[in-house]
Amino acid sequence: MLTCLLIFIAGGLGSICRYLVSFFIGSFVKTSFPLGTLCVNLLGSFIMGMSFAFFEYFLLSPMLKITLTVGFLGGFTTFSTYALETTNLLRDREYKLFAFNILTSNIFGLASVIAGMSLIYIILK
Amino acid sequence: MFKYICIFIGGGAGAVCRYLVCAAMGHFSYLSFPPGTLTVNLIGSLIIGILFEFFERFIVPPEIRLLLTTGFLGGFTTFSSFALDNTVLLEQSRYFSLFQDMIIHNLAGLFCVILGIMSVKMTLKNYR
Repeated sequence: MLTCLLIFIAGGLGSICRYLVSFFIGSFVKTSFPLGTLCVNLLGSFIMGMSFAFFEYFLLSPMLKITLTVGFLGGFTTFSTYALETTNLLRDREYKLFAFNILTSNIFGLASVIAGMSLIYIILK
Repeated sequence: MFKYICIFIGGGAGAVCRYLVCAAMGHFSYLSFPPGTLTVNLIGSLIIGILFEFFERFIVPPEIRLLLTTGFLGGFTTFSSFALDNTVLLEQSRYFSLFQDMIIHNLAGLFCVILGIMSVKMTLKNYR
């Protein structure tokens, strides 16, 4: 029950942060490419990699790990908006942006997790 | 301020639902990659397709849109766990599982959005 409450709070905060980051990027860069979603997803993946490595090194409460990863990072990143925006690029016949969005999200998503893990491993070596 | 409360409640509820679905799925995993993340992401993609088309046709207050899409569905689906799952598969040199997870996520995710949009279009065909 406490776990659910913590995930609720962390997920809510993560969602607000996602909204603010997307809004901030959207108001700076005017483009038909869904840059805001890509940025939150890559940033979230990077922090996910960091926390994965961090919790491997330190024995901390599993509650804290779940709150941060399942709650905050899960709320911060989104797959549904990514899928919707990618579909809209396809509908608008923006084939280059469509392919670019899929490739960058997937490949750089993986790379971000690895970069986050590597950073923690280097710091804690 | 009110819109932030909507996003907070929606996102929190979405995250709890994701946690419960993933916990339930984890026990009867027969796929070679974590099925919980795929399940929530595909359900979320289907619902966002339905809501997108619904909001195109009906006037819905922006707070309700934020509550449901940015809040609930954003909290319900996750990209970071998807990326982490794939990194773990890559580390374990399980390339085929990695390939499967990526292809299914992207193809089925797009398909679910289109399915959601089409289902609303067909249901509401006679209304306009």
